[in-house]
This record gives sequence, C-alpha cells and structure tokens, in this order.
Amino acid sequence: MNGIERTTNVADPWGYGRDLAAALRQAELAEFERSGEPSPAARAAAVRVAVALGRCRLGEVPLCDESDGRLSAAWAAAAAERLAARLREAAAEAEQLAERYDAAETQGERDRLGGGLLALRMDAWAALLALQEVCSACLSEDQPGGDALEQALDQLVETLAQFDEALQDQQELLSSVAATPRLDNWRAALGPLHRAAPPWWLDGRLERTAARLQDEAAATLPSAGAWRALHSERQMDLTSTARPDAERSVALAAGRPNLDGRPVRVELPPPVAYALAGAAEGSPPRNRRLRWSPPTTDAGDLAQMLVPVVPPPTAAQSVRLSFFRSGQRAEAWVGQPIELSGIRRTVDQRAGVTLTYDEVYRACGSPEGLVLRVGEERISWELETE
Amino acid sequence: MDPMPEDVDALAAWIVRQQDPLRLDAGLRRLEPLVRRRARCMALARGLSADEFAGEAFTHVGLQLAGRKFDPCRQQRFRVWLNQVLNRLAIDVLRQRARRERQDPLLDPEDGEFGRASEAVVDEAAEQERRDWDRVYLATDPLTSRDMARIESWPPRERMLVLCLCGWHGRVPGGVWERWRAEAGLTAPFPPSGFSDCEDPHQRVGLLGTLWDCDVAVFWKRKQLRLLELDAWWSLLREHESRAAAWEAEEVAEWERLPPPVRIVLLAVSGLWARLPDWDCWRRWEREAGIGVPVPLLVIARKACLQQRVAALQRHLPKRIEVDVAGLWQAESWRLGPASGWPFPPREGRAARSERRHACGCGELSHGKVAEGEWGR
Repeated sequence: MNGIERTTNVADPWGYGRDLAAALRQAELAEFERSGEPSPAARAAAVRVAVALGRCRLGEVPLCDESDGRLSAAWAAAAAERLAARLREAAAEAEQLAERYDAAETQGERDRLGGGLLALRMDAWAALLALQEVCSACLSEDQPGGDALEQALDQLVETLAQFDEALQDQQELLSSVAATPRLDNWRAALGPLHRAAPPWWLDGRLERTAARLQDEAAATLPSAGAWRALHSERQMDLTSTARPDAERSVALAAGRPNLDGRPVRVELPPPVAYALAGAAEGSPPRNRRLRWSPPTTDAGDLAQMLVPVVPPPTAAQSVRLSFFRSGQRAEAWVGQPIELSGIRRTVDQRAGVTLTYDEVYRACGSPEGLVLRVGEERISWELETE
Repeated sequence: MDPMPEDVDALAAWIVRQQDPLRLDAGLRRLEPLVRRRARCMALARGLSADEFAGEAFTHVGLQLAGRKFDPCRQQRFRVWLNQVLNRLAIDVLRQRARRERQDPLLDPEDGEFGRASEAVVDEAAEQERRDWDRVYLATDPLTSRDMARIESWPPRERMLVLCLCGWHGRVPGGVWERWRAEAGLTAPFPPSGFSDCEDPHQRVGLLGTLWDCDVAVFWKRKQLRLLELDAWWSLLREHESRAAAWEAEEVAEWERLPPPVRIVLLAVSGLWARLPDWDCWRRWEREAGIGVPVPLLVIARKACLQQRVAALQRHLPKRIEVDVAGLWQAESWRLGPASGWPFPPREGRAARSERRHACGCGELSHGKVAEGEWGR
C-alpha cells in the first residue's frame, strides 16, 4: 500500500514520480506503523506524500503501479489535519498581504510573498486531490478510518475555501507574480485535463489583472501633454514667487491653461462624475453582445460587437466591430470591405472597424435589421444575439 | 406510512422508493448537507469553484436518485456511490469548461454578466478618464499647510513616489522636498534628471519601477487613493458646477442621523461621498462604522455598474462588522431619492419621512445583517 519505489520517467519531465518516491522514503512515516499520536514531523511527512502524489495526478504522470499510488487512511487523515492548520495560518497571511507587501523592500521580496501563497495553493490543490482519492478508495473498500478521513477532509475543505477567498481578495497584489515564470511553469506541469480548464489562479485572470493595472496606471497618471504642461509651468514658477493661499482661489476661478492653451473649467475627476451619473440613472450600464458568423464556420471566424444598452452620453461615441479567427484577431480580414446595414467600412489593421453608436442605432432600426456583409463578394454573415 | 430513516444508506434507499414528489423532495433535502459537503471537497480537489459545483452537484444527484440510478440492493454504500457520481460530474464539468474555452476564448471568466465592454467603449472611457485626471494634476499651487502635514504623515517612500507619479513634487517647497528625500534614503537629485522628460506615462512607471524595485502599476492602484486625503483634491471638486450640490452643514447633519454603515454604503456605492465637505468627515464616518483601512472610493466609483460597486465595497469591508452591502443598498437607497432631488427627496417629502422615522425610532434603518443595537445612536 505504501510503496511506490519506481516510476516511469517517460511522461514525467518534472520528476514528480521521483519526488513521490523520495517522499515515501521519509523515515518519519514509520511512526504511522506504531500506535499513538503521530508527531508533527510525521504529519508534515504525510503532507509531503500527499502533495507529491497529487502533483503526479494533476500532471497525469503514469506511476509504475497505479494501485500502489495511494496513501493509507491514517496518513491521509494526519496530512489533512496538518494541512488545514497550515492553511488557517496562510489565510491570515493572505489577509495581511497588503501590509507585508508595503513593508517589503524589493519587488523580489513582494513576488515571493504572493508567489509563496500561490505555491501553497498549488500544493493544497494537489494534496486535496490525493486525499480525496484515498477517501473514495477507503469508503469503497470499507477500510477502517474512512469516516474519520471524510470528516478531516470536510474541515480541510472549509479551511481551504477560506484561504481561497482571502487570496482572491488580493488578486491585484498577486498579479505581480504574473511577471515571473511561476504561473506558466505551473500550467505546464498540469496534464491535459486540468491544463485545459485550470483553476482560478491559473486561468489567466492574474495576467489580465496585471495588464489592467498597467492600463489604469497609464490612464490615471499625467498624460504626455499634461506632463509637458506641468513641466513648463514649473519652469515658470521657479522664476516667480509662490502665490499666497488667499490668491489661490482667484487663480483657480480664473481657470488654468488647458493642454491646448484654452482656459478650462476644472471638472470632477471621471470616477466621481461617473459614479454620480450612475447613481442618477439608477440602472447599471450594460452591453449587448452581437455576433455574426459566416455561412461556413470551419475557420472559426466570427465578428463581434458590444453595444451599450444604455445610450452613451454622445451619439458619436464609437463602437467597435471586431473580427476573430479561432479566438485570435483575424488578420485575414484586414483590408477587406464590410457593410453593416448599408454602412461601409474597411477592416483596419486591428482587424476591426469603428462605427458610431448613432450609426449602429440607426442600423438596428433599418428595415432589414443588422445585416453584415463581408468581403468583396459581400457574403452575408448570420447574426446571433444573446 | 413509510417513515424517513436517519441512516444515510437507508435514507438513499428510501428516496429511490418514493413516488410522491413531496416526500422525494423532503428526502433529498435531508441528504443535501452531505451532498454539498462532498461536492465542495470534490470541486476543490479538481480546481473548480466549490459553491458553483455544490449547487450543480445537488441537482445532479437529485436527478440521479429520482431516476433510480442508485440501486441499494446491488450497489454499495450511498457515500461510495456519491463519490463516484461526483467524481464523474467533476470531470464532465472540467471537460465542458475546456470545450467552452476552446470555442469561446473571448469569454473572460472574471467579467461575468456585466463586466464585458467593447474595446472601443473601454478606450473611450479610458481617454475621458485620462483627460479629467490631467485637469486634476494641472493644479500647481503650493499645497496648504494642512495638506503638507497630511503628506508628512505618509511613509517616506510612499510619499515620494505618489507625489512624483502625479507630478506634484513641484508643489512641495524645495527645502521640505530635500528633507523628505533624505528621510526616504534616496540619492539626490530626486526625481532623477531626465524624469521630467519622460512624457510617456509608461516610461515614468518603468523608470520609477526600476529605481524603486517595485511594480509601480500595483502601487499606484492602491496609493492613488492618498490624493483623496488632500484638501487640494476637494478644492478641485468644489470648483466644478456639480459642487453647487455640495452638502451644507444641515445636510451633513441629516446624514449623520443615519447609522454609520448605512451612510457608508449609500455614499460609497452612489459616489455621493464627493459632496461631503472633506476627507476628515468621511474618515470619521468610516471609523464610526468600524472601518480601519479606508474604503477604496475611487476603485468602487470606477466600477461600471451598481452590482460591481456593491461587490467591491462588500469585499473591502472587514468581515467582523457584518454589513450586508447589497441588503442595505436595497433597503436604504430610497433615501437618495430621484435624481432631481438629491440627496434627499424634496423638502415636504423629507419632512414627512423624517417624521415617520422618528415615529418608529431607528428600527427601520437596521436592515440587512447589521447587528441589532450595535449601531444604535
């Protein structure tokens, strides 16, 4: 039951089979053969076995004898308890991640904080898969300890769910791990089933969060024009005396130069203005997705447009019709003419065309509806709506 | 009458014998906690969402039992059968997800129902946001002594980075700036020569990130909120015509009659916090509500829809204070009134409502999970 001495290495580039064999050789495991409470070291050894076995399962690593690739119920229960205790600590660490992140001196240190928590999440996933397997086997073979193991697993699951929740609340801090190869390495170590449908921390959302933060920083830091204006104004300020506070309101009221030199009224920053607008409308802005596909869909082509349900502030607001092939931008359609209910455009370099909200609105009301014709032959694509 | 047994195996056998849908349902309800517990375990073992899978699994197991797929005579214990069913279901769900991702790679699992916006709409919003922020940054007047004291209370490095990023380092008197630079352990000159030539924000982010060895985008997302602490920010807001609706002392006092969690939820979700006189007022209210770390108001306001704002605020609030944001919003948002009568309905309505409130004490304000008496005034 306990012995996995040899593994096949052909499909095990990460050496997980070897790790499992090494974990099974830990001397501390002998404690489980004796009666009495296992020591913390023995429990930790059991966790290592569970993690190693789980990694083999996640990576779909073939082991030399599948029936031997299991922990005993006693090991599994000890591993579940030890792991649950560690996850309780880790949930608290995740909740305090912001403070620890701020206190760290280097980005490497910050990445280690976030990466360490995610690594523990990976280990917990692997271990739980192995422990669940043991539990199922114990129950079906009516082995002693199956019920106790089931209870230990229930506790582990609750702790893991709390840890998960704490981690998900920290996605923005964890997103900096996306700049390291960790996530890619973990994905590469998964077998086809789990790689195709990975858990939340490997499904690309951390990478998307990192990209979003970059975009938001660029959008909310001074733009090139403002930076130039600030800099030139500062040069002038150096030669003048500082204005006393009393004069400031006058200066503000008079307006300050805009980027193009005209005086402007200071306006509410957009999030605030937007928040006010949203509350005024009392209804959330939503988009309606429109999709078209060609009569033959072998190449996986589709055109997609998201139209705001709530009309935007200006009818001239642009709406993008994008072309995709197998989920990627469809370069093949670049330069091709398209016609949407009489509106003609040419597919641009970003594999899409830009329309105004007003044009789309009018096209919706045309007698023939939203008809998309693509290419020189003006082939009609079929509209699917949500 | 065949009574419902307690033992799980006997209960499962009893369920498959039932013809009456009500009795079948009652039996399934008794099994539900076990099924959900095991399903959560299976979900997490397979990297799936525990709550989503538990719901799906309960329905699936119910259908299997109703369809008599569990044979108590031939088969083993119910829990063994359950594990097998859940394992097969989990693998099916994984396969379905993989297939869906292959067919529809454009779907962003995080965005859910509301979050997806067209590229152009996003571009447009970002452009507008950039233009408006620029107007904030273009204020070049010296900071007031109150603002200087606030900035002084920030951690030294954070202080330097925030001011450099928003280009406000020039608003700090030279001598003070030098002292702060020394406190932060930075070599002169700071910002380094050439920083002011970095017109592209990405360049600035890159340069400061390298100098500081930090992910500036992550830093900025969290620390941009510092600007809200400054009078410089609130005075800019006051310049806008919308500030004609800024609340006077009487209106602020009226808000103060509401329990702190109600105030926080209504103002943070609606964005009406911008009508308060200053940051101190908001912070005082946050503390009264038991909120230590300031609510990320800008992050919430930037959310595209009400549901996302509610979720963002809920995520931020400390769990110990047990505020149900969605529940409070639903129960109390009538106070915001129609758009024309913000923040409260017109005078007559307000007076009448006020009377009604006095007549029934503050009980009507304590909706949601707010602990009874905890917020009593």
